[in-house]
Amino acid sequence: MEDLLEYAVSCAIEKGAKYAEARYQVSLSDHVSLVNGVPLGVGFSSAAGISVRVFTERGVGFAATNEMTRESIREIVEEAYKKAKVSEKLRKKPINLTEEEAYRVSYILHVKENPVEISLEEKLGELGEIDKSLLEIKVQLPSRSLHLITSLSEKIFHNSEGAMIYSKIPRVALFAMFIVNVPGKGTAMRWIQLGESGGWENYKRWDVVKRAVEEVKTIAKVLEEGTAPPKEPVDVILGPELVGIIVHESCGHPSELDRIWGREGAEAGESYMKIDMLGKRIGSDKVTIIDDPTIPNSYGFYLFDDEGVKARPRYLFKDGLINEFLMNREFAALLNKKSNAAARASRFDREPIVRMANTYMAPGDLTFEEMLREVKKGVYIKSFAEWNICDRRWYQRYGGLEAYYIENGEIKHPVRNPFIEFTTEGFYSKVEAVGKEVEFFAATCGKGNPMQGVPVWIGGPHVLIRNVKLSVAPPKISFTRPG
Amino acid sequence: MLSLVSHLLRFRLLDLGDNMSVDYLKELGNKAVKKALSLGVNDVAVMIHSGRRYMARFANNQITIIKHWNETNIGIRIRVGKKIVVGSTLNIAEVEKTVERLVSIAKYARENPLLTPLPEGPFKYTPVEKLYDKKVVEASDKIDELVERAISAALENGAERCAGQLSLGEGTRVLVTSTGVEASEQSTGISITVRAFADNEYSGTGVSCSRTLSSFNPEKAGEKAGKIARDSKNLRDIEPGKYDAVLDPLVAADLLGHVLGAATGLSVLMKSSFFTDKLGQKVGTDIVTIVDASREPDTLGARSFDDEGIPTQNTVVIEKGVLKSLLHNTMTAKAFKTNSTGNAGWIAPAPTVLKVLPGDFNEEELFREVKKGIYISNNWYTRFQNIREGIFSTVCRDGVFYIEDGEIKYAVKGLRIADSFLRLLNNIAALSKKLYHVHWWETPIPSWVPYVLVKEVNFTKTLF
Repeated sequence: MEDLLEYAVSCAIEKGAKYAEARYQVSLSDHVSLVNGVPLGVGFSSAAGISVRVFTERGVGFAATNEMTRESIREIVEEAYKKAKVSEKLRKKPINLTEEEAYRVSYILHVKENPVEISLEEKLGELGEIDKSLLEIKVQLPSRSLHLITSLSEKIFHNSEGAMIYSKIPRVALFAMFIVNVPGKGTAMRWIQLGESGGWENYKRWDVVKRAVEEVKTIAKVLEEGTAPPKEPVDVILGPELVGIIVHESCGHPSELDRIWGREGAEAGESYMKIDMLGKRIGSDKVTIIDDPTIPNSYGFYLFDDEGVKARPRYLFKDGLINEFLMNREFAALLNKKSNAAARASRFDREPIVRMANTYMAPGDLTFEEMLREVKKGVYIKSFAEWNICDRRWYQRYGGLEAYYIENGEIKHPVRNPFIEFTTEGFYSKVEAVGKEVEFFAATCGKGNPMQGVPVWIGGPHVLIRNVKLSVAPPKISFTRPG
Repeated sequence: MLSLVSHLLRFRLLDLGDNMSVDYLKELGNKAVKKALSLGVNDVAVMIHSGRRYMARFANNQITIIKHWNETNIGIRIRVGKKIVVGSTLNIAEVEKTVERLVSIAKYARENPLLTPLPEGPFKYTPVEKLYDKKVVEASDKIDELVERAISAALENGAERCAGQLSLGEGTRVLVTSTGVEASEQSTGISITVRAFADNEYSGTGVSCSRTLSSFNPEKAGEKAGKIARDSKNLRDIEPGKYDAVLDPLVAADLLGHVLGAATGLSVLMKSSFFTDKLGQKVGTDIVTIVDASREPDTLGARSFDDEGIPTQNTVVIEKGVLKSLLHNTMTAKAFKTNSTGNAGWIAPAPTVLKVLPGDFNEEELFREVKKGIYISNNWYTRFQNIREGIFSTVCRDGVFYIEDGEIKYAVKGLRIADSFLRLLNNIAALSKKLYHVHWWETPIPSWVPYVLVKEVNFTKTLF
């Protein structure tokens, strides 16, 4: 395969490209689904092919094929080069890339049990166990949707500067969605995503049955006993799941330098950040947010990005200041900086673009109990269902699911559907205390056109914010007129 | 960020080269069917998508990249007794190996009591009109000119810079089954999204899409985007609360797309839809008629046969406010004791084209109906707090305008709709006469939708 990649790159350079790269990628995945006890889908997908990205003086062309012959490779190189030249017509300035070391390395995430080799029978058995356990508890679950996905991503990257990088990363993931019904009290929806890079042994470690049963019992309790959130401003403790989604949406995405430059403007959007905002204050000095692709077992794990740059932790916010953007080679060059290895492509036929990997708020110094003791009257929001944010990543809303009143440092009865709606600076500037222990959650991050979903972790410790107003869910409609 | 990636492009493209001719693809399909039958499966279907496609992306009035794909994907579904296994590969040389693997997996799969055999063909297909236009393919040579025309139109109408995408290409679908189906269909598609910016942060979006080049209008997309961006300047704050809302077709396509998505047989069967137990009931006002319009001419997503080979039809899902029909494949149809609506999906039925039947209002008249309200030109990030009850919120995007006594007064900022889909349907008060063909990154279901006036929509905004 390496020779085909070398052939692709040499064809592009011969044609006159100033830089070219070729990537071979195999994405294997298999899935089993159990919905309301019915084994709806069992199957697999295999996507293998080669793509090339060609830079001319002022243009970029990309082309991909699943036909791995020299003839086909030559054709896509010609297409990519031709289109790079066409794109020059609407581009005035030359495109430069940062200077980076050309690595020739190979890395494989070794696992005890390759997850794609575990039989689908065993995987279905695992889902069956979860479903059986859920049916044994005395809670009505009109909808139970369980999906187990295992995958293997194998890549070879080569560029005209001589880099040649081989990688092989298996992953395991579980998606679960439940609708819980408590007669007379209504329904609630809970979804969970678990994911790691690693082997089948990682899945076994999760103890999914116990977790799912606890989640369902908890949501039922919230429906049974939950009361409306307080109307007056209160202190709020946000759990790691909430903190994870908040930092991903309001720090990670807006830190992507391609967005800041406007490249994703029509789809994923732009950013409240501007290139001159490095060093500017965005939050209290308790806030440090890191994006780190190198965390072992993380869902967003990689050691070299899809431009061949060596990965490292990126300190996006440091002590409340905007500290570093997420960058690839093209956009880092515009700031005279080096790439920090944020280029990722979800499949062989997708261009590498600036992405997060594992984004989390760095730990502080309080235990959860110590943080609780700081609160006289407040709400603890542990999990969420609905969330969204404007495309400049400033106005955002999160719909709390598992939540409790706090009184004089103690957790009391559940609160039902507390919504929290704030601006990015409004939130980070109110962070008064940060917990000691970081917890991670899996997610699939979407960006790009065509859409590229990439695996990431999101996470953080517990966070305390003071004196904020919560809002409530829209009232349920109860109109059923005869048809 | 998304929880599940669902933005699959609605048109697939084909390679017109000799190797990937329709006959060759059919031969490939038959080879896989023969292999599966020789291994003892009860029935088998093979769906092949083959295509050639281009996409130019642009930002700050410049093309940032032009991308090209030349790909063939083979999907295979086998049934052994009550077990179903589905697989896909991009490797043509591995078709038989893929079948073998599926059959070996079937041994370990579990029985699905809902499963039905593939429908017995052959069927007679009436081609959907205006599905293919060679001129679309030829336009790949002037992709930069088409982009430039859209950008120029936006700049002439008040924009300072534009971002967006232009996609075009051609594709073919071939379906071969062991139950007598051998069908093929060629299609083209072209679409543009223009997002215009003025004074850096004020924005507007315009789109154009079609299957034929003559229906494609990049200038119109640019013009609309430019005007909204220009008019969005001088944002003001407004109190959150209930307002009548005029939904632009872009917003109607997204929100009513979720309504159509909730009407699939599987989501109702699995009780994860806000239409659970509502079939035959009144779910909207009398003016609401929503159709899954698989057969709409010159429309992205339209097709003449579904993934099981059933001929497509236009299915009235909501008629004058009553939930009349769900969208089915043969499996969910059997569970509901009805017929397939031609919306397969081997596992889950899916919407193809959202069509909202037009109303009686000119657009100006529709705005004049509003005493105190908000016009939303675009939205994104619709998420559910509770999908069973239809409780959701969505973020207003691009120009959002306060309307008083039928006139747009000024642009407003920071709003989102937080409401229930059932209430939304029950509060639809007026629809425009004209429908627009809408499809972009955020709305995966291609749509024909009007401007929609909804009474008393709940708007929220940030509290700190």
